Formats: sequence, structure tokens, C-alpha cells
Amino acid sequence: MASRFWSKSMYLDGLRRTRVAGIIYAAAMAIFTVLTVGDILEQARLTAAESDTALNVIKVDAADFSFLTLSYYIAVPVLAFMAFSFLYKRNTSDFYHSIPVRREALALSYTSAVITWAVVGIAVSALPSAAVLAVSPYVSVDWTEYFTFLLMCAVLSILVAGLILVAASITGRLFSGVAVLFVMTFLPFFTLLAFVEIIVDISFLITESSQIIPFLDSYQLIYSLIKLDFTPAQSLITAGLGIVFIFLGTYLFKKRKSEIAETPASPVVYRIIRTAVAFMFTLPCCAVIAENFDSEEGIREFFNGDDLIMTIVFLFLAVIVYYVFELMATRNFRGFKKATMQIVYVFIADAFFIGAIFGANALIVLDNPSPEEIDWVSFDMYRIATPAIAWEHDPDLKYDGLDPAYEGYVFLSSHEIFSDNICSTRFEDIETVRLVSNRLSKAIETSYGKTKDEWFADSEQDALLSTRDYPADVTIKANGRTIKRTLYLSQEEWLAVSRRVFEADVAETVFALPDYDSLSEIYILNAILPNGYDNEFHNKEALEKIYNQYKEEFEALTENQKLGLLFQTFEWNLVKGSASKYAKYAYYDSDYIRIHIVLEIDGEEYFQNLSLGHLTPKALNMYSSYRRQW
Amino acid sequence: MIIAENLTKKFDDTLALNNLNCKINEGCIYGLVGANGAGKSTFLRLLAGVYKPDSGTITVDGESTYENTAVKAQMVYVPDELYFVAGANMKQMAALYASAYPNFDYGRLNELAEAFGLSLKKPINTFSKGMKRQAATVLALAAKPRILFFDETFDGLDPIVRNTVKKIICADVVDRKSTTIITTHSLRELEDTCDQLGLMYNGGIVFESDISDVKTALSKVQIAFSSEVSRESIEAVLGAESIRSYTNKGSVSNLIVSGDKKEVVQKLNSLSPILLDILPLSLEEFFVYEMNSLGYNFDDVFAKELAENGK
Amino acid sequence: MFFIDNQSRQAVYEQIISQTEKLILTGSLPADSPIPSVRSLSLDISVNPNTIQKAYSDLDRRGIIYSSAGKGSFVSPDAVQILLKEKISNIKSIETMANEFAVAGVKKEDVVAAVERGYERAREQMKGFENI
Repeated sequence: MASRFWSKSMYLDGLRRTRVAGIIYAAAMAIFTVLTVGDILEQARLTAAESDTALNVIKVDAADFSFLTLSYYIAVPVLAFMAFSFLYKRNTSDFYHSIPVRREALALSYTSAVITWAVVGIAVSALPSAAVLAVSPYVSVDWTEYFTFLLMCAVLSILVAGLILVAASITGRLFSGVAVLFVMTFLPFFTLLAFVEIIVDISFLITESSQIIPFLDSYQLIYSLIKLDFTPAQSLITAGLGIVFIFLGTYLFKKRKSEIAETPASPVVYRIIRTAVAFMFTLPCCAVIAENFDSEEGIREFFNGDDLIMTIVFLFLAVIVYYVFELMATRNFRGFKKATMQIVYVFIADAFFIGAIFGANALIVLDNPSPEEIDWVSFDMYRIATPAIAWEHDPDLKYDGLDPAYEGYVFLSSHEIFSDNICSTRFEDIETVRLVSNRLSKAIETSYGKTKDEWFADSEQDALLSTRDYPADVTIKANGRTIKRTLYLSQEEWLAVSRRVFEADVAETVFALPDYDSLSEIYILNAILPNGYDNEFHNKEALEKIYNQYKEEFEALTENQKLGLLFQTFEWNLVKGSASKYAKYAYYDSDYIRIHIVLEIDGEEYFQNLSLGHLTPKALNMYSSYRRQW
Repeated sequence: MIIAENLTKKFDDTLALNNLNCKINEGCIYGLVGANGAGKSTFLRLLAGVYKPDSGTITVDGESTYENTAVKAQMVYVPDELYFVAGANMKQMAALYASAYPNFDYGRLNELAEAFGLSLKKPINTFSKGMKRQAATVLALAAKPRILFFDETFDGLDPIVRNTVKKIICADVVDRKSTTIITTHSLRELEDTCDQLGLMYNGGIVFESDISDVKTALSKVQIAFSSEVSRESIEAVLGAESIRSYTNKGSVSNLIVSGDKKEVVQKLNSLSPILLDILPLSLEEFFVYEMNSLGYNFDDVFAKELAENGK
Repeated sequence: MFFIDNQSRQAVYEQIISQTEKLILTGSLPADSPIPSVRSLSLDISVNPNTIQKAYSDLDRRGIIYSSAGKGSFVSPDAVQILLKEKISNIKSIETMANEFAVAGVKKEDVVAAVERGYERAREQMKGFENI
């Protein structure tokens, strides 16, 4: 069966060509699976033996099966380069182009053969694992996570296969094919990373990469080195990306001249790869230059300091890499003369890169909306070492071991519902907006003609930054765009914002407890019980009643009281009444029972501990009576 | 019919084919001769649709060959550097060919494999070099294509195999009007098998003709007179253009003459020679003199190559 | 039936033609007898079919053989006459040559003796052909 886009015999030929690697890979997957599942079952058996409660289960998630990432890290590259190895020799390349098979069909058939093996390996692991673990009594598998992970591996396999199809199509040697793959995979990410990090380094107003480019860590092939949990959406995007590359690769394969076999690549492509590889090694030099060349003094310092040495070393390294690459790709010295002339392209790329950095920085400084132009602002307080907002505390609260300097503050933590509420609140009132606009304008004004260090040392800034306690990542929505800047607020400004939080309109959203139905998890923490965890209390109906009761009572309290309930310590390891050097925060001396709730927003989990105590007596009674029933 | 018009192909800085023109009729066995580097393999690859012409056209029945699966399905190319799918045996290669070429004949495959003693099950990479050639040839013949290219394939085959292959090719010519193109260094090969001849030199086909015409076109004459007879008088009888070469040692002259043998004999006899010997030219001799007359200096390696291989 | 010498300086198709002529003249191939098909002859003597076809075309053109649709080629009934006529037209050249010999002073007996030897040789050859 043959058509323009697929040939069954070529597909089978592709499977056959790669069968050795494919079988080894499938066997490896099988072995890893057996070891992993065996280990899990053993653990489960031991757990079952030692405790008599059926609740003591072994939790299994994607991380246990991380060996499956070998599918796209190792298996697909080996399989794909093996499948397309015929492109790298004259006689084989000519043979495959002489038989009556369309090039598109050849490309797609072979690529699908490679992907088939990848998926086979995953299936060899997944099917038995799922079957065994599903029926095991003491094992609990997060099936959503597990299948999402399998999907991720499959999808990344498709992406890598597509990348290699592109790489193999435009090169004539294995070495240059691998080089192209390397460049395609790492260059965009590293260049972007370098770009963003350098800007963060030299800009007065940007202190975090997420302020410039959100999701820098998503959708990147390399990032999945650490990140094993693609969401289904990310998998879909990656699959789409993979298909794009497969299309591109098929087109390039069609256009490929059979005679580039045994040459590194077509001349233009080759020069681009060589330049790109060397360029990557010059990125540190660009960083150093961009960081230092912001003023005359900076330039002078640069030439006198260690930075110069480091720059020269990296430059030297880049040049060596350049020539070594040329040697390894062409296997002779003939091209050296031409290569020397063409090394200027690397420097041109560097110049563009540095220019882009300065350009971006200039653009950042130009962004200075007036209060009228701003729709809303929000404050991400986590930059502060101990992020907090000020409050007038309840006199009933005891401070035990708390550093007096922290009196009057409520400390925010990331992934806490209430903290998150504050940080995502959009302040639309004119005072706050004006506050931000003025602060931004001032920062920009005072920054002209100064280096970053000079700016920080400037007296006015210094006053603000003496304790560096009030930097905030401010999000500003203005003129249809959303920008993020790091601004250093003065004490008054900061207190003004804090006060706003307690004003009715803001406080309403900030202090709103979520509905019971939206919670992804809820359980009760009880300090007097062993482990602090009331794991006997898993009566869902009771929990719902208690929670709703609590919510009702909570809503009737004052803001200060609400704060008090929300901000009992979560480093709770106290028994009621005892002092402990770990207690940094205020606590109600009678409140040692808390409701722990978890909310899931955009795939991220946020939790909150709600003190169940004398301010919510009905809820407390409900809890006690339910407990007494046992 | 295969037609190449102003076909040009360049690799980096080297011009492999330079405005090549050629016509190969259906149903002929065409011998392509040329020195190494003349461009024979490049030409065949362009024919087989492996390369794309830089300029000019190469067509089979009017259709260009590059990336043309319909045309490629009618051609099988047996290259000088053989390739077989890694680890494959003849059976598997046959399956590959059979899926690509509609006329594949398993009967012929089995017959030939048996006749040449080739195992269908053993991996081809265990075969000797000669057997690999045979395997490739057998597969190509079994595919029964309309057009076959053999790039220096026969130079390594033993005479019995060669003879069998020749018979099959000839039968296919009669039965299916198939066309076969053979490139070779050996003029003996050419004479034995081919009926058309093309000579490639420096990226172009400089001479193309029917083989029989080649042999009858020129004659070698040895002539002696009792008294001195000048060249001019000979030229007067034969016509100056027909004398390709003239050497003279004393009273004996050696000439290469074009034209009908009988007429030449008649005309020369009018000069009353005491000795007149006329022989057809061997193929090597023909090439050398024809090339010289076309203006190429053939006093080079190729002529020697041809001469040596012809023995 | 044919003996082809690939090494010979004479073109293969010419050899086929002359051998066919000899076979017809010696009576080994009588009138209306079939000529081997191009295909079978090609397989038989390992000669390029186009070459054989060329020879046959020449013989057909001269009327020495004729082809019958679907049945093949055959020796023409008047093949012998035609060949004789062609040869006889050469006799004129014999006359010219004899004249030249005479003028040159070659003895008539020598010329006649040469003619005798030629005929004798033909008789030997024809005896050979009869045995095929």
C-alpha cells in the first residue's frame, strides 16, 4: 500500500531497521517496570502487615515511573537517527531515492515507525503496571496524574521524533544532524533564558524573569528534565508542536538533495549551525558586556576587572568550539580559511543579541503609565523577605516567643489561600493607583544616567531600601497591556496598601471562604492527637456541616478576628499552653484545632488552616459532639 | 523513449554534467562508455530520479524523472556501489522490490537464484562481492521493469552468469521492448551485448551511434605502391574529408578511411597499388580516431584505459 | 546454425547476413523454409536482438526473406536468384580488374588459376555446410 504520504512497506522497513534498538528499549522498559511495580507491591505488603487500618495505603504517582522519560530522552533519538541513517551515506541515500516511493511517504513512514517503538515501550510498561496496581489492595494510584504522565511521554516522543526528522533532513552527516538537534532544542531556550536573566540583572525595575515572560518554564523540552507533570493542556500544545515539526521535517525531507549525503549539510544550513553553536558559547560574554556597558564608568571598570578575563576566556572557548565543530563536521582543514572569514557572523549575532537587550531595557523604562491610564494594580508581596501586611491585632492574642519587631504584622505565605487572595486583589481606587504610578515614575526618573548600584545607593532610594522590606512585584494593567515591575514602597505607601486590604470592598473578597463544594480536600488538625492529624474524622457529612457552620460564624466576625483565625501558625507543634521557640506567631491559647482546606486553582494547590476555637463556638461544639460519638 | 536535453548538474564547484544531450530509444541495449569522472553515474542517477537537474531536462516518454513515482516504478537502477537493507536476505529485498515494482516476478527470481546458486534466506551481507553483484542483478531482472540501469555491474561477473543475464535482457527486449542501459569500462562488454553506443566525455555525450555503424564506418587501409604516390593523389581519389589519418613510411602508407569498404577498394585500386589491405577498425581504434576528428585530444589516460580493457 | 565471432572485425550483423546468404546458396535453407525468430536466435547465439533484427531487415529489404504476419520469417522462393543477381553485378568489376591485370602485364593463366582456386574453395565450404 503506497500513497503520497505513507507507505506500508516503508513503515515495516522502518520498524525492521530499528528493531534492535527498539527491542532493547522495550526490554529495558519492561525490566524497570517489573522492578518498580515489584517495589511498590513489596512496600504495600509491608505496610499492610504492620498496620491494621485499610487506610494506610502506598501512594503511587508519576514520579515512581520517571524511567518512562527515557522514551523521549534516549530511545527516540537513537531510534530516529538509526532510522534515518541511510541519509548519511551516498549509496544508501541514492538507493532510497531511486525506488518508487514518494519522499513524503518515506519521511512519514519512518517517523511513524520510530514513534511506534516509543509508544510500544511505554505500553509495555503501562499496561501491566496499570493492571497490577489497579487490583492491588494496599496501593492507591493517582490515575489522572499517571495517565497524564504517559500522555506527556508519548507526546514528547512525537516532538523529539519531529525535531530529528527536521535535523536529519537538512544534514548529511550524523554529527551535524546531532548538532542541529542540539541547537534546535537548546538554543531557543538558552538564548531566551540568557536574554531574560540579563535584563533582570541590569534592569532597575525587573527583578524576576516571570515579569517579562510568563511560563518561561512551561513547554520547554529541557524543563521537563525537572518537571514531570505536564498538564493535559501542555501536552496538547506539545503534541501540536510535534506535528508542526513533523510537517516541517517532511517538507525539508522532500526538498533535500540526495547528494548532500556525506557532506555536513547544504552550505547555508551548515554555516547557520556552526554559527549557532559558537553563539551559544558566547552568551556569557554577552551577559558580561551588557551588564557592564551601561555607563562609562562601567566600561572602565570592565577593562580593569576580572570580568574582562572571564569574557576573554569564554570568547576563546567559543572560538575553539567554532573551529572544532568545523573540523569534526567536515573532517578536514580545508574549510578553515573560509570559516575564519565567516566567524564574523557569530559576532554579528552577539551584537544583535546585546542590542536587543539594550532595546528591551529601553522599552521597559519607557513604560510609564499615568494614573488615568491605569485600570488596576495588584501587589505580589512575596518578594519581601518576610512578606506581611500590617494589622491592628486583637488584644486577646498572646505573643509567645515572637520577635517584637514582627508585632502588628500578618505574614503571608505562598500557596496559602488568604495570602493568595491579597496578592491577586486588583486595586482600582485612585489613591492606590496613583501611589503606584508615582512610585514607578520616580523610580524611572531617578534612574537616568545611573548604574543600578548607584541607583540603589541613592539617598532617597536608600531610605526606602534601608531594610529592603517593602519591595513588591506590582502588576499594572494600563492601556490594554499588563506589565509587571518591582517597586520599592516607602513605609507610608506600604501601610496605605495594607489599610486598603481591610476596607470593605477589598476585604469582602480577601476574606471570603470558598464554598464547601469547591474544596478539593478537607480534614481536621488536632494538636492533642498523635501526628496532629485527626484521621479518624473522615465523616464527610459531618465535615460538610462543620465547615458550613464555621463559614457562617466566620463571616460574622470582624476583619481583625478573621485574621486571627487564619493566621495561627502552621508550624504547629505545640501542645496547648506550652512555650516553644518555634512559635513565631500569635495564637489563641485555647485554639489548637484547625480545619485544613485545600483549593485547586489552575492546577496549583492552595491551602488554608482555619482555627476552630472560641470565636466559632457552634462549629467547635459540632466537632466535639461528633468526636464524642466515637 | 529517454531524452536528455541540455542536462546540467553541478556539485559544489564541480560541473558533473555539462549540457548533455542524448536520445535512447525504447527497446535498445545502450552502452555508455566513459572515463572515471566523465559523469556516467551522475547521468544514471539523474535518469533514475535521484538527483534533480540544475538545468535542462531528462524525461522518460516526456515525463521528468525527479520525484516521479509513476516513472520510477518503471525503472530499476543497479548502482556501482551496491546497497542492501541492513541484514536483509534476498527474500526480504524481493518483498521490498515487489511492493515498489508492479511487475515483480517471483518465478523469475527463484529461477535465477537457483541458477546462480544464491540462497534466498541467507543475509546478503554474508555474500561475496561477486555474489552480491549477482543478487542485485537478479533482483533487478525479477522486477521486470521497462528500463534497467546497470552501472558497471557486469565488470565483475563471471562469464556464465554474464551470458545468462545477457540472454534474459535480450529476451526482455524482444518480449517487452524493455530498455537497458549499461555503463562499462570494457569495450568487449559493449560489443558483446549492446546495440547502441554512447561515449561520455567531460560531462557530455560526444558520440552516439548504432554499434554496427561504428564498425562499418571506418576502415583501416594499408597500401603500397611501386613508385611514390603522394597523399594528394590519394586524397583526389577518395576525397580529402574521408581520410581520418594518414601515415607514411617509405612506400607503405597506412590510412584510416571512412566510407563504404567496397567503394574505397575500388577507388584505391584505380591507383594500381602493389599492396592493398583493408580491414574494419576495432572499437578502440575507432574511438581514438573518431575523438581526434571531433577535436578532442585523446592521447590521454582514457584511450589507454580503453585499449587495456579491450584486451 | 550460425557461428558468430564477436572478436571478428566484421560486424555481427554482417556476419549473420553473410552466413544466411551462404546457407541459402548452398541449399541448406531451401525456399520457404523458416528462419529462426529474433527471440530464439538471440537466446541461441547470445546476440543482441536489435542486431539480429537489423540483419533480418536488411535481408527482408533485399527480398531474400519475407515475413508472414504471426507466422515468422521465411526464405523467399527467389532468394537464390536474387543473390545470384547481386553477385553477378559484381562480374562487371571482374571485367575491370581483368582489364587492369592485363594492362599491368599479369599473365592470364595466373588470373584463371586464381579463379579456379576460388571455386575449389567454395566447393569445400559447401561440403562443410551440407553437414550442418
